[in-house]
Amino acid sequence: MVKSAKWNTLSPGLTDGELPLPALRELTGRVDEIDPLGDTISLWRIDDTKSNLDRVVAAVCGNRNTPSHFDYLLIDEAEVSSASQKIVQSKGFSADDFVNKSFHFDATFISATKLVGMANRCLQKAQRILEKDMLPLVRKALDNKYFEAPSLSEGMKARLNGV
Amino acid sequence: MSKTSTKMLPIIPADDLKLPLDDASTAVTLSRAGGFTASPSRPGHAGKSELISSKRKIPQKSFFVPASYSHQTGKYAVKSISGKVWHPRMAPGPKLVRVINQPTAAESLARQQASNGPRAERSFSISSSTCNGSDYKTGIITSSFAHAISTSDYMGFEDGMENNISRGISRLVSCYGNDAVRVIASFVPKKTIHALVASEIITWLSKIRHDESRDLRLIALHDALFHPHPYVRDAAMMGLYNLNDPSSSAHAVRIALHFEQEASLLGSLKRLEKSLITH
Repeated sequence: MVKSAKWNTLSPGLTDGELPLPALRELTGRVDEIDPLGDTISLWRIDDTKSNLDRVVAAVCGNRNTPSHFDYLLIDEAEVSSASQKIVQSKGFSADDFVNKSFHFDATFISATKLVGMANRCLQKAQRILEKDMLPLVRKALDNKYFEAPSLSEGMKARLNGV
Repeated sequence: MSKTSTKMLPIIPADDLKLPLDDASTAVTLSRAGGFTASPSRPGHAGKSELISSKRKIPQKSFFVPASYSHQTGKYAVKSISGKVWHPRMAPGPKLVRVINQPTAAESLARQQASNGPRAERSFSISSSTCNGSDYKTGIITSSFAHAISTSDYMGFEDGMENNISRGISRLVSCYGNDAVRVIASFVPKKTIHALVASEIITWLSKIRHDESRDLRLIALHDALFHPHPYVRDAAMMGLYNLNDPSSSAHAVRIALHFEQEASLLGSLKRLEKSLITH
């Protein structure tokens, strides 16, 4: 999950092809209790056919405080493997337990050079699902009982009910 | 005694200006050469005056009122509830005035002074007793929201996740309504505000549920379509998608299409225009 404007637009003061700092910051983990070194980033594995993309999007959006568009970067797994020190499957944090257990990975980076190289290749590649297209995915996930409605935020429930 | 003399700037009824009161993007080309007089104001409409230059708009400082002219420095003093500020662009001579708000107690005093005629060797100060509730409220909103910004981790904003800014906007707008929207929106064009913060402000102005302030919030979003930073313009586009008000937004989006140079945002704008047309 990223903010596509950070990847797809040219900030004032930058020249074409330069990597904006806010974009790089999205690929460097946040320093906290879980990741004290801030060198791990959270990734969701998407099939080559993108068959699980909708479910992952619904799961992640189902965990939000309020409905919003969904921006994401699809990075080739080989690219992440070569840039990172290790990729470890771990429990994700979304509304869907199956998605959390099956598709979430943590990638640990020790080389800033490789991380910047990977980030550079991601420029202009961020994609977006608009809010109006995201809501049906969450609704479908609820219908398929991937997760339960009570687990959703009030804002999301209200929006799904057309308020 | 202070070496200043008071020259009051004209207070002009909103109806005379023929502009929407809340249209922050409109510059009024109205000037007066000297003869500072006060015009009677229509109750509930005329109000706070704000100086703007003929070429470039002075950043909005909504609780500032014009105060006095100093012969020593050759500049106008602008006083606020937080103290005195010399504004370098305020030179003597004709001024442009835009009416933006309810009249304040300070302006009532200004009118009274103007009706008595300019007096030499008189300074004009705004003490706390002359500031009415509107100024006080604006100050509260400004300081409260500035605190929300200063305590937010702007690099860590995530789409759809609440943060100090979203909570601040929600709380202030529910308490103060349109006044809060005016003050909060005035933070967006400030150069001292990081583009990520400005875009977050725009995002949450579009998300909050508050029917009374919907029109003002739409105007803030329309203005943000022309913000110099692409993050803010992107947030404005997403906000207009959400508010989905073709009647008021279609025109602003069409104009923005002429100015947008970012390829990805241009594509989004075109899709937004199409979506507004089809609704």
